[in-house]
Amino acid sequence: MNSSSAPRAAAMFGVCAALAVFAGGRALAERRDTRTTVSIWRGGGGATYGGGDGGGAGAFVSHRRDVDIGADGAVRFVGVAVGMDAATVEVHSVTDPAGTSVVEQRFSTNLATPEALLARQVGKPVTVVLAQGEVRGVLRAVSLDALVIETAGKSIEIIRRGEHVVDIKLGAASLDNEPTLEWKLAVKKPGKHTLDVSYRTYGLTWAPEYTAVLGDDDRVDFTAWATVRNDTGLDLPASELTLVSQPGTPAALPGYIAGPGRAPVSFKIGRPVDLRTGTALQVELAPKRSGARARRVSVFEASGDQTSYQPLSDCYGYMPTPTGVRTEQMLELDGAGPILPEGNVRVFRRGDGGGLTIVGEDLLRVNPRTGAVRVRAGVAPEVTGERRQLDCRVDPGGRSLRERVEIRVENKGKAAVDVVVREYLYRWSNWRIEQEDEKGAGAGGNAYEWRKKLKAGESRTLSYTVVYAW
Amino acid sequence: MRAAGLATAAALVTAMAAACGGAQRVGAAGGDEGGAADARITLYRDGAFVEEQVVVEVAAGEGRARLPRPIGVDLGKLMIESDDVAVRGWTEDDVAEGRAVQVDVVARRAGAARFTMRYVTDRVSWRAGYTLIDDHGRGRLHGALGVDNRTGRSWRRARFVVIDRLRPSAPPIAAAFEQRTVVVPGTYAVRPGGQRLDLALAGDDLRLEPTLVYDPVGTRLDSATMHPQTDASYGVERWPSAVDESLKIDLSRVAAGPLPSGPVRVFTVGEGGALVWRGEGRLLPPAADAELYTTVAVGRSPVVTGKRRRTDFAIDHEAMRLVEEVTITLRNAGAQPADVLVREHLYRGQCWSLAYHSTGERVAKEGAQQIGLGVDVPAGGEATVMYRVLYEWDERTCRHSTSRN
Repeated sequence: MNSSSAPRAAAMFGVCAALAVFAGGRALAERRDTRTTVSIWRGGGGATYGGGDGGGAGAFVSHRRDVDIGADGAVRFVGVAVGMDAATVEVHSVTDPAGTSVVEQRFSTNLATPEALLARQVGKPVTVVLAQGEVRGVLRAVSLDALVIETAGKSIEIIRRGEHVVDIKLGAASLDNEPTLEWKLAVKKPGKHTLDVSYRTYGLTWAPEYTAVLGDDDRVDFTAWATVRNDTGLDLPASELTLVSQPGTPAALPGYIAGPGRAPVSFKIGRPVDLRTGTALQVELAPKRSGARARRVSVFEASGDQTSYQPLSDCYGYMPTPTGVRTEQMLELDGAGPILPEGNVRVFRRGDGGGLTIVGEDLLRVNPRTGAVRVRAGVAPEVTGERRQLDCRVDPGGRSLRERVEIRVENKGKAAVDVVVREYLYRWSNWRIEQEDEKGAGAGGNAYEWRKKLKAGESRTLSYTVVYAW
Repeated sequence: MRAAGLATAAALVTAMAAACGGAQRVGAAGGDEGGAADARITLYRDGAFVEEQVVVEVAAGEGRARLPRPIGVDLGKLMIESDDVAVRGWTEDDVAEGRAVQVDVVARRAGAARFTMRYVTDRVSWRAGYTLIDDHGRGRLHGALGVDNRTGRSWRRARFVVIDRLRPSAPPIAAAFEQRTVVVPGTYAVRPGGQRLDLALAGDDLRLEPTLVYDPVGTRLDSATMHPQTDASYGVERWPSAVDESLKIDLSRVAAGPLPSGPVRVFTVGEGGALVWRGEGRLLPPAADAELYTTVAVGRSPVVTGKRRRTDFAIDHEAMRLVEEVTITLRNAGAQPADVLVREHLYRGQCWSLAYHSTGERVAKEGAQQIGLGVDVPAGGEATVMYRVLYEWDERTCRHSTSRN
């Protein structure tokens, strides 16, 4: 931070600290809507929409509210999300759908910024809480660097804004201070209308949180929760909430051709929830599975997912995983219910007394085709293997590439193991298996898997041919 | 009378050493006289994992239960479950009544419902401290944990478990399933702030064996990572030549498992039973297969000296292997032969194995990154100890270090 930006940052800190106090410690706002529905998308990585957690992330909010529409058609709709994309606003009159239309729309959002709020208090009472006491009076002027207060004795105090400004207490927030939509509507029937107002906004995010408790005999207690966060500046009481998982690369990227098995999955929360601004909410994503029997599988991967946003249209590019070709030992649970999104899983082991010991944290692997989930339980050094490219030909005219690959896996252990050979068909998202020695199955995106049972000391070889087209 | 006074003094010294406050032991060692524990706290080097039981009244049907909210715990990292009611979700509730979590529940009947809250926190820290009293060749060892609780939570009967390592936060590896736990006996009433937990060691009447120890490096270079320090110059410097006169203590009698690491302060019983400061050593982080003994330096040998040199170094990045050879030369200017314990720290990383050592059977793994090599040094002569250590950095296949091939 340079010297000139430091005071500004400190000043902003003062405002943010003040507003944090201003916003905190109050009850949930009174419900204005007769119905509120909220859908929140969770993207699959890459670019972020408005501070979400992945490409394609964002939320869609819909308010059903009774309003009075005058003969001039003017309507003020107070209390919408501050991060609303005004271009996405849809207004629909439930009362008279055919006879109501929008002539003009205005979105007053600047009132919700800290500086705009302060500016509107000029001429009004204000209390500035400093690290060493309070100053009360009438706010006479405000800038990023200072506040000018006229105190009761008619003296003027200029307070520099910075970290020593702990709080700025304003008068009660009026409705005018909230983000507001203003319309001029063409209505055939003035008077009471029920409106459905919906829009896209940022500031609503969610993320899955999984817990796997490993017990004896590969029994697993598995829980799936979602953490929902509301930073829209708007309380959304009694909302009907739907969480949408949009796995994979966002379709909005130019040139991207969606691969198979990437359909969004919705989780409708079966009860109204209060989404208070500035707070998080935890909701159950899927019912808890207690004592579920897991399969122990050794997953052999010779390459990580090296998918690019452009086709790898030559025959090179194969790299082993950064830590080399290896096999991981995983516990696999069959899918139950909706297909879960990938997310952080905390892994525990249950001890003799029932207490839990932390084993680690990992990314939950989900097969978006079957819903099966995998939790890593270590490595399987007894299962080794190698991957070889047998043949590769590019057809520039036909914009395609045909590649033949051979994989050999060996069980050097003293017991039989279930092996999953997992390949990433990473050269491009548009691929098809032309030939394979044994029947495999897509495992979501560019992943493809073969399952084998290997006896102690046994080795097996499989080959396949994949054709990419772009 | 004198023994009782010494025990009191020892307890006081340990308490001071652990910088503790005044937690109250509720149950006796291993017992449950205070009732069932309402919290189980697993202490890691970088924090704690808390599992606490909270009982609150709930109404029948759909409703809310208000649970306390620990400071500094992100809501998404909190785990809440109950066998008495169905938990449907929870949110923050920081209103006038204080910090809380509002839990949406469905209860079949009204009444008390028990909830289990689990969370990881870095607001519980600890350190162990030990006091060894040398009473004319027989020793008494006392140990305590100093626990600092900054979660804002209180528990009436908390059970403590120590896992003397960093909290596993990476994808699970085999070693994470083999964590050595030290159970602190009894239950404790725990309040916010500093606490003292007595480890209730069976530490009376220990034989203290005078031993010469050459430990020029100490633990300051220990890199507690699986990926070793690969800088060739790491650990290459001029090391001190002093050989310590130490007391060797057999810890296998003191506790069933390895003790949490921490300083050991040694006192001798002086005139009239007063305790006299004699020296300080350190219990090192335990390893699953480490020998259960420690040594505490109490003086310096006037006749035996040592010299430590790195005599070979080779690194193979492709194979992810590094070999280092160290040679220690000991000289004895005295008229009697000397039995010296050479302590070496495999400080480059935690994934190591000894490729060779010159001391035959006289080698012991003392800790996760520490070995002891025994050697006889003749009167007026010298002896040499040499070892080669192999480091690897495949953290997913490296289960733990080993002292022998």
